[in-house]
Amino acid sequence: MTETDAELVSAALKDPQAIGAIIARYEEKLRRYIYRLGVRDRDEQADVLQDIFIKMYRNLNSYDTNLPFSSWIYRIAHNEAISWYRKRAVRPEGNLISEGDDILSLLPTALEASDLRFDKAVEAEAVAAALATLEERYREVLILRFFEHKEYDEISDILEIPIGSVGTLIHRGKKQLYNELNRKFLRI
Amino acid sequence: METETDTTKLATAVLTRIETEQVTPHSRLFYVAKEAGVWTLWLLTVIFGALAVAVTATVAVYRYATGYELTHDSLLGYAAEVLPYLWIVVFSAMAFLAVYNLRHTKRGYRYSLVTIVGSSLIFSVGGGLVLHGVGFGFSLDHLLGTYVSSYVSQDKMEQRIWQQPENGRLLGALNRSQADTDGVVRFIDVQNGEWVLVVRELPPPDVALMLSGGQVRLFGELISLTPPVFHVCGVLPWLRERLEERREMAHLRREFRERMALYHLSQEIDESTPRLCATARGMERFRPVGEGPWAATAY
Repeated sequence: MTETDAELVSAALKDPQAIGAIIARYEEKLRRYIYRLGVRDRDEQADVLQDIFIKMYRNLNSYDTNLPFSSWIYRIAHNEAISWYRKRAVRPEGNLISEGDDILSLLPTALEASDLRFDKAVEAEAVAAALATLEERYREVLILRFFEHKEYDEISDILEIPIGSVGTLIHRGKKQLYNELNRKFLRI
Repeated sequence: METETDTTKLATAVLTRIETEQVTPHSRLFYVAKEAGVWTLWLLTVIFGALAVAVTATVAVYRYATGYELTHDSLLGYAAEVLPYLWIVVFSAMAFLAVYNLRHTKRGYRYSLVTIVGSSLIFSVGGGLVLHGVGFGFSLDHLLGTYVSSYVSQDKMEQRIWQQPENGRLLGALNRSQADTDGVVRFIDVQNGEWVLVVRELPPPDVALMLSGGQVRLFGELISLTPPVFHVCGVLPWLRERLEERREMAHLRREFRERMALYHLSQEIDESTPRLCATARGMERFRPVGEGPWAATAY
């Protein structure tokens, strides 16, 4: 029987070896997430992931069991990734979008209203480049919503902002993304 | 295929670091204390905010009740001089800190700024009004004025405003050691200056108030500084320490205004008694407007 996250946390508090199961469960998800946030190099991802899980272990007693564990560990991952790329003063570039990402289908319907039709590859490249130019706060929520498929309350817990603000940021982020696509790539 | 119990390369690296760096989880007590600390700070800021509101409300209500029209040409000018800026700054700072602290509680991020600011303000303002209602604002202001020399309390501010004989205002009490003669009263001001007061025009309620022996505020006209002679036109009680008395201030003030308005309506007493009060500095503020002897006064 698969142990719940809360059970794994309890186990890890008693024996550090138990965090191996948490790592196994979240390593790939978090790797993808920090990649999208801007940590592209595989070795650097490994370093950031180590820091995330060390921080998680150090703060295990602060985990609030009323919250989903995934939100809590995503919060740590988010903070570590942001801290990482701020230290290096870099911004993510292109290649954010891979097959299966549904941000394209969730873009404002205004795109369709503009009678825009272009092939999927061009679309993905354009959206990825436009996304990379967005303000950090918009990019963060769009990544969580459309790449990590998080609900509003989960995004609220991860980014530590009110749920109302999540909705607002997503709305504005989509609008800014759309404007950016229009301005730079679609030349409407 | 990798299962949840497999130890990955990453897990090995993390476990090695935990062992070599001797990483241990912070104790639960640490987080409980941290959370309690933030909430305590929030509570303290709300309490200090409430104290600030209490004093501000006390000062505002009291000073309104004491009658700005006696000393200032406009409510705005009066407010600019007597507003408790210190407490307003304290309240603003406390409101900001309360919001900051609430934001940093475990679930603080879930609440919107409006909710956080609103709740902090409601607690501070509500608590402050309750404290004001039971007279704590006045007591705190008085206490600080007594023990902190640089703090301008209600008493000090009122003294500053009322001990100005050249502007027709005097603060002090009857000198009971001197025998009164007809129409002349001996008076000691708050700076221990001895005055001869001319009270011929003074209405009976004002005379009675002055003769009660308590500290009073005089409104009138300076006749001379050497010898010190002051023509009294009106008398108001000094700061009221009891809450019920302070609540009476608005009533006392209204009656005072009505008595002052009468100076503009009454006839000459007689040829030998000049009517200084009708033309005294600031008396124009009490000139009645409209119809009838008890019409509203001109302020």
